[in-house]
Amino acid sequence: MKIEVTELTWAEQPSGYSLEELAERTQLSRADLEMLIDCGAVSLREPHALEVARVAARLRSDFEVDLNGVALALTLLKRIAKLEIELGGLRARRPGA
Amino acid sequence: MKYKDYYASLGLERGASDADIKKAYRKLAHKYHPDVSKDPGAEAKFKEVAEAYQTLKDPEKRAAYDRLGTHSPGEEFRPPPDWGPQSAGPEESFEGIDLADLLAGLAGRQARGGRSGARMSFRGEDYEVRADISVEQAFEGAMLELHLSIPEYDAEGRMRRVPKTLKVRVPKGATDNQRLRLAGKGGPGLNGGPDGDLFLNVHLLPHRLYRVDGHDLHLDLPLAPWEVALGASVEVPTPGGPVQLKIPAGTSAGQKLRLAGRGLPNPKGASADLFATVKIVMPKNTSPRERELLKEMADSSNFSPRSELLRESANEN
Repeated sequence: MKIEVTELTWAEQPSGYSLEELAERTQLSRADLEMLIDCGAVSLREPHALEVARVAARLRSDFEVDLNGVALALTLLKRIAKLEIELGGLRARRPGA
Repeated sequence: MKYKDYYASLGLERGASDADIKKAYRKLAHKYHPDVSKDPGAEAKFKEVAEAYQTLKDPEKRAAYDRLGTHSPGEEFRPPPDWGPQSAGPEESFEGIDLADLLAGLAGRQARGGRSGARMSFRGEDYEVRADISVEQAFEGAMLELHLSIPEYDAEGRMRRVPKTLKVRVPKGATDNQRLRLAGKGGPGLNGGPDGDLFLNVHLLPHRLYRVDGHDLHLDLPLAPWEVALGASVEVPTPGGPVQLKIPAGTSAGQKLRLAGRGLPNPKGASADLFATVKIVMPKNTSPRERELLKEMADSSNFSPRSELLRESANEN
């Protein structure tokens, strides 16, 4: 079997993605993405835009959730992720944890 | 080809109604969806449930699947010959083809009426792979071997999955929940479209000494009472090797001592720090001489560690 050796690079893209790139990579329509951007659930400038848009695409296809539901779920998932990072930091700083 | 029992995956009988199929999928999808569940086995379970639903929700695919008859899950079986590529021989026609891909291909072929449509180009699929690495690997960088199953398309556009192994070098300084990208190592593009990317989601394994907070590391530093009272120079483990740490006289339990630059390397700048939290440990067994010295200290000291506590309590009453 052929084994390729290759180097990984950091995935976060500080300059962000274009609307077309996100649409192509996630199979979300341009109109759906624009709606998610308008309500602040996805930001083209954030480094994790692709990851967030991909979660949106999964929620839409796997649960057949409408866009307002996707936007709400993304906002809550982002809040949970932020809290988990804070909790992880507090646990790490706690002696004997 | 291995048989998959899609009805069993959804916990249903073979004659289940469309409404039952949808209901079972919704229930299981909410339980196992990787964006919702933290269970490490949830993603695999969700894929199984989603694959079953993709087939059973589509009347054509479900009818084709039902025509295969009943087999045990994992049992080797041969689909009808007219399902295979016409150009391939009878013995090799289904090699490397997954049942779900075959059913998807059949439905697509019927939808296109056996004629190929406009040759639009499509970007290849992006792959997501989880990589569990140790703190030591995050500190030094690591070589990982990834075993993937990559789709390939034959002349008739039929998809087969082929095993592929990639050796990837994770750069030092990767930490929990970071993502790394391998450009062009995802699924192949179609009709001249670019290949997808492979994303590696990094997870740090729990360590017996270090707790990780971003790139900072924390550890508990056990010290003897006389080391905190008189001060000492003690050896402290760090991922880069042990270092000597000066303990100031009068150090208390819970105090944090910072070892600058001894945490994980940070690709965006200087290495992070390691914080040692002081933990005062008494010997389990004390000798008569040690007890004598402790008694002598207790008799000659005026120190009252609870004086402030008692003063505050008195003020409140």
